[in-house]
Amino acid sequence: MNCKRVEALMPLYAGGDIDGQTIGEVRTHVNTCGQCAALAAEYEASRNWLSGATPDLDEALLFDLKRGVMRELQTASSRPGLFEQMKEAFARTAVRPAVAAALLLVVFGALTFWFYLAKPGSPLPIRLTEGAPEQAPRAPSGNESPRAIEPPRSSTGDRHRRRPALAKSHREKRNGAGGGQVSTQVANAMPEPQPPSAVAFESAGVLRIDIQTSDPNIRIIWFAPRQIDSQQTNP
Amino acid sequence: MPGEVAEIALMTEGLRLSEPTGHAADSTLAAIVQRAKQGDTAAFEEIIDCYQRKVMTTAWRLLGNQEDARDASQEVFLRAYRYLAGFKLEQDFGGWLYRIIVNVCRDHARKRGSREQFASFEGEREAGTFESLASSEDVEANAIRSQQRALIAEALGTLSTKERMALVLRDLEGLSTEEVARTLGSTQTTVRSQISSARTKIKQYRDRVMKRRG
Repeated sequence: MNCKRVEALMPLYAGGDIDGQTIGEVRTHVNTCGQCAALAAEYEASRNWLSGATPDLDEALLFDLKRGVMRELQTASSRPGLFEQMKEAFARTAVRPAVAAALLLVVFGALTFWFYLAKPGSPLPIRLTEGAPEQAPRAPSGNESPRAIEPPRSSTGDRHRRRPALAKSHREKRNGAGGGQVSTQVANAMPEPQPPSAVAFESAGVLRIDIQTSDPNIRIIWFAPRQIDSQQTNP
Repeated sequence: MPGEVAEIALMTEGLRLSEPTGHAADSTLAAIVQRAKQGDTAAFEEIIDCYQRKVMTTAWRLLGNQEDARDASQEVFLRAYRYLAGFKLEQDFGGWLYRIIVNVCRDHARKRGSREQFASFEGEREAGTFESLASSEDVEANAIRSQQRALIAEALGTLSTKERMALVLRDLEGLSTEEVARTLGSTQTTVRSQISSARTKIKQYRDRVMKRRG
């Protein structure tokens, strides 16, 4: 081991912070090299000098420290928690009516929401008409399933709301009402007149059902082959 | 009970914080810590009696002046009280307290920022850090000691925060490299590197002082 290497290791050697094998090599070198031995002595003196970093702490200072800590602890323990602070604030007469009014508003808002928006049986304006579309997508064949021309489903998930209305129309058909009767009932329910093309398409054996959702811009049109429908209703 | 405190205080006096103080003192300390964990403030007061001198000394070594050391020591005990519920009795209480001291002093050093970190000799004398100079026989000796302490504080002030913490814990508090690494949340290799650099800087500072003195 040369002097340069020993010099680099000297700060750690002085504090005994190098492992057994290396410390042995450094010690051997220091014992034979006067310059490195002097360096080791300087580091040792520096460490001894540093050990004088001990303040003289008088009792008054320590007493003051302890008293400060205990006073802080007492203050912290006597300080009420968040819940107690809220309870205390509510107990004040000036705050009580404001809190009560806010609670009433919240309850009223929740009830309104439940009655008019969230209730499952809330009314949806549904219109059923019978007739041909403005532009027929394709001519349905006689043995085609009605599912093949199922109406598009809304992404908002209001399919379940439409189903009862469709079932109602089917129930009416099963009870002996023909296509014309359905059209009459629908016409009674709907103020708008039938489109003129309805008759023409009716002759082709296609039933058109218009469903007007609560959104005036969204209308669902369902085409169903009349032949299959009549087979289902009159087996 | 005050007798027990005095006994522990005497046993911890002059020893490093985490050094085992014998089975009897350990069991007594464990009992005191157990009571303090249950919210007994009187028991915590006994813990303060045992450790305040060591905490204050370590804080002074890490921060370099009395005012900050006193504030930091107070914060150390308040944090210790707050987190005492999470302390496990099988843990080393001294090591646990060292970690709090290091964290608190690190926070203080960060807050202090660019402010002067280490007080000068004159500053220390004005603040009354050191022992009273009332005794006429010891005036000269005290003055020399105070001056030396101020120089050491200045020497420590030349180190970075990490170097200073590693050096203080290793060389002044007497912790092993492994304990220092654990306390600082670092690796032994990093600690060795910091210690090596710090010792070199301290030696260079001392060499300059000696050269000035002739």
